[in-house]
Parts: sequence; structure tokens; C-alpha cells
Amino acid sequence: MVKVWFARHLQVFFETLGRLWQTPVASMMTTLVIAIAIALPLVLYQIVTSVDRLSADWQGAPQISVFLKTQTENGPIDPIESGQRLLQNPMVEDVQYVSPEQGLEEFSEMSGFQAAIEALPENPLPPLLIVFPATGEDNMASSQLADQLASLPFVDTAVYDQQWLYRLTAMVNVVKRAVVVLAFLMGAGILLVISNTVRLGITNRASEIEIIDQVGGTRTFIRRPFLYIGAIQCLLGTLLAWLVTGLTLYLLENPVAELATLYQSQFSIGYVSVPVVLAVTVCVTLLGVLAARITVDRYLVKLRPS
Amino acid sequence: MIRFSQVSKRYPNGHDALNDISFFLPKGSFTFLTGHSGAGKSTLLKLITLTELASRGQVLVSDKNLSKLGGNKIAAHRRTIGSVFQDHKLLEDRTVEDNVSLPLVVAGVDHSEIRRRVRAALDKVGLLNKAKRYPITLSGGEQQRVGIARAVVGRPKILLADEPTGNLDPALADEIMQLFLNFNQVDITVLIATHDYRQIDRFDCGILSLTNGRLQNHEGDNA
Repeated sequence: MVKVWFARHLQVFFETLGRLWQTPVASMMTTLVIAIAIALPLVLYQIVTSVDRLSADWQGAPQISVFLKTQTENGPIDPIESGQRLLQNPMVEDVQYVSPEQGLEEFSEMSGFQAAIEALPENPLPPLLIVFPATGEDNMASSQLADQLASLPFVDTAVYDQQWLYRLTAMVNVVKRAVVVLAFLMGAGILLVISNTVRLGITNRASEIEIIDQVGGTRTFIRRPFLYIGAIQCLLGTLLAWLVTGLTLYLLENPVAELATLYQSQFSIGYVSVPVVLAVTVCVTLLGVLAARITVDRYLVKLRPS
Repeated sequence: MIRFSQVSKRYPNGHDALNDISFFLPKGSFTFLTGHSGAGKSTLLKLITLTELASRGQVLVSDKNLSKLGGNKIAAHRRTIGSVFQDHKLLEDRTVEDNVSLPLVVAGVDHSEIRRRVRAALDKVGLLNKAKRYPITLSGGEQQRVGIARAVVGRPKILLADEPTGNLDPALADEIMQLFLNFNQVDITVLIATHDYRQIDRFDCGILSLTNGRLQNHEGDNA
């Protein structure tokens, strides 16, 4: 019995492939629509997750860069002593001193402007105190602390470094939400496309369904070829979607790399990971089966004796 | 085998197709169901195959109350019945062989067993040499024989036919009727809806006569 069942499934699978092949234009269109519906949110998803990963790398502990004056009316400033004074503030967790020499060294390493820097007559960098606030993730409190530190007499400016990063994260979150909404809309689109394809299939095979029903075919038997239509169309659509997605990401690779170089970054969008590929393939195929099942069942109600 | 007890059928449009029908057909019987067009012959057959449900009364087939069947049991019930239709209801895009094998395929019979039984059924109706042909290339009589082969291939206990000789000339009709007699001899209960009185007169068997959805006389065993 298991052998017969398996043989029957195999037979229906190839029969369905054959049917799709018989109407190549219609099948191709359906496949293409499904592929676009998958590829669009997927490309966006990949870009957003890459940017998100990037900002997560940068996030770390929030810090405030406090640039000191070298001189006040009361004479030269000792950066170490200034650091000690900042530590007395309960809002300050830790203070790290970066001397102008260290700063210059770091900058020349990271920027690649060694030659230009060596040509400078003197070190233009002020002494720097990096303040780690005790405010944790509280963006507002950190921002206020930066303002407070800036008003100290020996401080030139105080910059809260994380501000722009929070803005980026907020933007990424907006796009992320948009991707989710888009994915749902596209999923609904796929549902409708499959439903329409199956309805067409049922209309074309109405007499066959009627005869199978009369000679004692079960609901499962009648349903099966249509479930295969849903599964195969979605599977083909997903495979094409990988091609479209891969091609799109490939086309983005060089411009993004150029952009990243301008920011001294190794950032790249990369490709969709294997688990995501598998999950989307399985989910979309199941979605196709579900759509087909709902459509066939709506029709099968009419066959029930009344 | 088939028992109707005070069965009525009213269609949703209000048409009373059958009215208070009671009869009993014993196992292995051969019965004609006659009546004018629209008398309710097709409806009666549809009640037996569970294509329609009785509005009132009980239909029992092989001691099963059909109104109690649902889901896959309906399919299982239909597999115990072979149906022959006036318009054959063959699939034009499949060969004779594939058409005949359909009841076995839906029943999940093994491939080699299907081959064997399809050949046996086609042999009985004399169409073994046309197994690979498509229905459209066959004559009306041959198509009807394909329909009969499909009806008997599943070894049903009951054979129903709705105007099986309606479109055939007398010689072909005689041939087809002879086939039904042959199947009846192997203990299949046969019920044939027809208004071909020439055929009815040729055989000495039970007659159910319908007029406007009511049973006129019943020369079989009474319930």
C-alpha cells in the first residue's frame, strides 16, 4: 500500500509538471510573479540586516568625547587632573585619557593620511577625555550629560558620539518594519496568484473531477494534483527568486564596496544565508499548498451530495 | 441489496423529482427502470450512487443507510457501484486503457494488478485490441462499451446504467444489453434506466415504472 501511495504521488508530480509544460507561457508568468514577490522583500531584507549588523558592531558602550582646552585664564590645564574631576560626577562611570600624540597616531593609522600629517608643523589635536556615562542605554540622559560636561570651564567641546548611530538604528527599524509588511503583502499576493491558477485548473478539468468523484475517488485523490500545482509553482518561483536575488545583490556589490571604501569601511551586503534560503523555500512552498488546498476545498463543497 | 423506503426527493428549486418511493431489489436481480423523460429515473439512480441525498425516507444499499455516510465513506460506497452513462463520460485526453483503469487508480490498486484487470474488462466487452486508442476515434457503441468496462473493472456489486442504449441503433443496443445480462449472471445486481421498450419486452425481468416521480407498478419482490 505504501508503495502504491508513493508511486501515485510520483505519478501526480510528473503529471503536474507535464501539465505546466503544456501551457508554458501561463506557467512562466505565474512563476515570474511569485519570484518577484519573493525577491523584492528578500533583497530589502538582506540590505537591512547588513546595515543592522554594521550598526550593532559600532554600538558598543556609549561614550562622550570631551575635548579639553589647553589653556584657561588660570593657566595651563592638566588633563589627568581634569579627568579626576570628571570622575567625581556620579553620572560618569569611567574616564579614559587620549593624549594629542596618541590621537594623532591613531588618526594617521586609520585615515591613511600619514604623509599629510607628517607635513604638519605641529600637532593640531587637543587633549581628549573619553567619558563612559553611567546612564547606560538611556540616550536622552547621555545627551544631557554631554551638554553638562561641555559647560565646564576647562572643556572646549563635548560630543555624544552615539547620537547618529541611534538615528541610523531608528531608520533601520523603520525599513525593517516595512520589509515585514511588504513580505506579508507579497505572501498574500502569492496566495491569490496560486488560488487563481488552481481555480483555472479546476475549471479546465471539471469533467475529469466529476468522473473521478463518480467512480469513487476520495477528496484527497481529487485534491492531490492541485496541491502539487501549488507546491511546484511556488517551488519554481522560489528557485527563480534566488536567481533574481543573487543577481541583484551581485549588481549592488561593486557600488556598495566603492561607497564603503569612501568611509574606510569593509562593509558589504553579502548574500542571503543558507538557513534563510531554506526557510523561505519551505515556507513559500507550503504557502502554495495551503492556497491550493483552500481553493480546491471551496470547490469540493459543491460535489457533496445534497 | 437496494431498498428504498418512502423516499422523496425535492430539489432546492422546489421541483419534486421523486415522491414516496418504496421498493426492494434483491442481490443478483436484473431490473429495468422505465418512465418518460423527467419522470425521475436519473434522480433515483443518483440517490443510489449518493450523488444526491433523499429529502425524506431511507435508501439502504448493502444494508448501509446512505444518509449516514460522509466523507471518504461516500467514495468507498461509490466504488461498490459501477455506473454507465448515456453520454459515456469518458476522458477524451486519455486512452481507452487509462479510462477503464480510473476506478482502480482511485482505489489505490497496484499497478500490475490494474493492468491485468483492465485487460480482462476490455476483453469482456470485446475491445482489447483498442486499448491504446483514444475515445474520440471509437464509434458510439464502442465508447459505450468502454464505459461499461470502466463500470465493471472494479468488480462492483451493483451495476447502474442511465439510458445506456439511448444513442445506439437496435443491433448495437442488443449487444450492449447482452453485456449487462452477462454481468448479471455473475451475481451483479443490475438496474437499467431506459425508455427503450423494445429492450424491456425482450427480457423477462423486474420493472420499476415511474410516472411524475411516483412508482406505478413493481414486478420485483416487494418490500
